[in-house]
Amino acid sequence: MQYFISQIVNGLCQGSIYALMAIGYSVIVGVVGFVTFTHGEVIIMGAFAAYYAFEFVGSMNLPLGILAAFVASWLVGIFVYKVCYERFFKAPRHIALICTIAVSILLKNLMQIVFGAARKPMINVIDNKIYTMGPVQISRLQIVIILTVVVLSLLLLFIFKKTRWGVSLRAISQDKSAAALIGINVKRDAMVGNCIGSGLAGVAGLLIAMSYAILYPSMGSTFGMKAFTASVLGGLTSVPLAAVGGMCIGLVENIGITVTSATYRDIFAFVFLIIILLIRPQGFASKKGGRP
Amino acid sequence: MKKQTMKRVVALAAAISMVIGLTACSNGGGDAKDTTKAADNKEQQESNTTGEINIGVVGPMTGANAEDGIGFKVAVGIAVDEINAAGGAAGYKLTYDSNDSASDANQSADIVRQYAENDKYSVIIGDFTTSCCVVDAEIVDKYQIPMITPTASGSQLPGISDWFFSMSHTQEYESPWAAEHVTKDYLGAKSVGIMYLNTDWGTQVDGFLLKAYEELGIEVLANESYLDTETNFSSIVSKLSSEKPDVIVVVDQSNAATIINQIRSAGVETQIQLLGPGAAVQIVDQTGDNSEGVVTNTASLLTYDNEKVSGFMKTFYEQAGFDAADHAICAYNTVYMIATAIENAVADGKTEINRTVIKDYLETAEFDSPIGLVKFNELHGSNRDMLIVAVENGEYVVKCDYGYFD
Repeated sequence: MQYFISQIVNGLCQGSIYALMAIGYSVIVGVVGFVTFTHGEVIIMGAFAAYYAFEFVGSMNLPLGILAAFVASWLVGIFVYKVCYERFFKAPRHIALICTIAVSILLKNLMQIVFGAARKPMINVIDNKIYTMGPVQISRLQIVIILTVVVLSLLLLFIFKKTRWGVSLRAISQDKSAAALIGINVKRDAMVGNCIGSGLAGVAGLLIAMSYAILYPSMGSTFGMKAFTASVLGGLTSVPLAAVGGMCIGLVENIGITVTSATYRDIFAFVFLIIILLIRPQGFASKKGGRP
Repeated sequence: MKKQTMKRVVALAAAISMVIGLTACSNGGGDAKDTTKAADNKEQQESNTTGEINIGVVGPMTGANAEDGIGFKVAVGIAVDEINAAGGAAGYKLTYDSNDSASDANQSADIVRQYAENDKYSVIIGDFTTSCCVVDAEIVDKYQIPMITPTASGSQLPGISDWFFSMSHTQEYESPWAAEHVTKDYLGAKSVGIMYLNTDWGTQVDGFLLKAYEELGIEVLANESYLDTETNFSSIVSKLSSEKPDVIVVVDQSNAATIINQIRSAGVETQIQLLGPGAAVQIVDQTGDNSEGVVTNTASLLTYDNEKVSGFMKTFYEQAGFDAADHAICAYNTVYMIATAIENAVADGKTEINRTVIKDYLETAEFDSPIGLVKFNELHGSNRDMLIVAVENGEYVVKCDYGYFD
C-alpha cells in the first residue's frame, strides 16, 4: 500500500511538471496558431540557463534559477517566433512545422557544442528532507516542484483573466483577424504569447533538472513529445485542460510502472493518449475540432 | 525598408547557424574527414607505402553515451600524439579520423563500412556498445579489417570474428565476479534489488547476475529494467525500496550518477552497488555526498594521485573538459596495442604493414599500460583483473586489491 501511495506521489510530482510544460505548449499553440517541435529544446535551454546562473552566483538560489530559466527561454521564444512563425502566418501550415523541426535540431546541436555533451548534475538546489504522514512519504523537493507549478499556473490564469494583456492574448487565440480589427497588434502579442509559453517551458526544464538531478542537451525531445501529448489531451489550446492532461499522463505512467516495468513508461503515456482520442477525438475539451 | 533588411539578416543568420550546427553534428565534433569508397577490395590488402597508418575511430559523440565517445576520440588523440612525438610506431606516423555513431547500430555500421571500404584505413577503434559492435563485427569480417572495441563487453563478442578484438572482459566473467566478490563477500548481502538498462548489454548483465545470485543463495527481491531514454527513476526507486533489499545493484553506465542522486533524494539509504561504469570520477563529481559509500568493481582506478595515470588524466581533462574514466584509458591503450603490433611486425622483418599484418600481430601484442599488462586471449577478448572500490570522502578508495579473492 505504501508503495502504491509513493507511486501516486511520484505521479503527481511528475504530472505537475508535465502540466507546466503542457500549459506552455497550449499557450503557444493557442496564440500563435501552429504546433511546435522546439518545445523540448526550449525546456532544456531553461534548465541550462538556471544551471549557469547558479554557477555564476555560486549558490543554488531557486527564485534566481526560475528567473534565469524564464528569461532565457523567453529570449529563445523570440528567436523561434522570428524564424518559424512571423513570416509564415499566411503560408501553408507545414512550412512553419518544418521550420520548428529544423530549429529544434539546430538548438539541440548548438547546446551540445556550447554546453558540451557531458551530463551536468543539478543537486542540492533545495535542502531536501523526507516528510512521512502515515503511509505517505513526500520529499521537500517534490513539494517545492508541485507548489512552483501551482503558483505559476495561477499567475498565468490571473494574467489571462484579469489583465488587458491577457484579454488580448485570448482574443488572438480565438480569432486573429477579429483581434486585428479591434486594434490589437496581433504579431507583437502573438510573439509575447509564444515567449510566455517558452518561459514556462524553461521553468519546467529547471524543475525537471532538479527532480531528475541531471541535465544534458539531448534530453529535451521526450519532454517535448510529452508536452505535445498532454496538450493534445487537453484539446490543444485549452490551458487548464492541458494541465489536466499533463497530470493524467504523469499518474498513468507511474501507476503503469507500478504493475509492470519502467521500460513501458512511454507506452503507457501514448496508449493512454490513443485511447482517449479514440473515445473523444477532441480530448478533454468539450467541443470537437480544437484550434489550430 | 529597414525592417525588411533586418528580417533578411535574421533569416540569413538563422540559416547560417543551422548549417553550422548540422554540419558539426554530422561530423561528430567536427574533425571527421570525408571517406571515399575503394574501387577494388583487393587494394585494401596492398601495403601502406605512405609511411602512415590511418585509424578510423567510431563512437557515440552525441546522445546519452556522448561522454564515452568523446572520451574515445580524445584518448586516441593523446596516444597518437605521444607515439608520433616519440618517432611513430616503428617509424610509421599514426593518424586518425573520428565519426559519431550516437550509439545507433545502423549509424555505426555505416561508418564502419565506410572505413572498411576505404583502403586509407588500416584499423578501426570502436564502438562503445555491444549492440553496435555485434553489427560492426560482421562488416569487418567481410572486409577483413581489424577492429578493436575499447569497451564493449557483451558475451557474444569474443570469437565473433577473427578480425574483431575487445579490450574489455566479457560480462560472462565480470557479472558473476561482481555478484560473488562484491555483493556476497565484500558487502555480505543476503538480498538484492536490481535495476538495469534494457539494452543488449544490460539484459545480458542482468541474466548473468540472476544466475549467479541464485547459485550463491542471494535472494533477488526486485528486478527492474528501463530504457536508455529514461531520466526519471523515482518509480523504480520506490519499487525497489519497498522490497527492502540489503543492496540495490545498479547496472548502468551513463545514468549511474543520476540514479544515485534520485535514490538518495527519495530518502532511500540502502547500500548501492554499481556494475558497469567502473570507477568513473564524474560519478563522484555529479553526485557529491550522495555517492558516499557506493561500491563498485573496476579494472582500473584513475586518480590524479596515481602517478602512472595522472599525466594522461591531466591532458585528457584539458582536451575533453571532463575527467577520464576507465573507458577512456582503454581507448588510449588500444592505440598503443596497434603501435606495438606494428613495431613487432617491423621487428620481425615485415616490410609491408597492412590490415592482415596488424591483425596477426595484434593477437600476440602485449602492452605494459599505465593500468597493467594488456593482451588479447585466444578469442580476441581480454580478461582483466578487478578491484573493489568504494567512495569515501568524495573519492574512490581501493577496498580489495587485485587478486584479493584468488
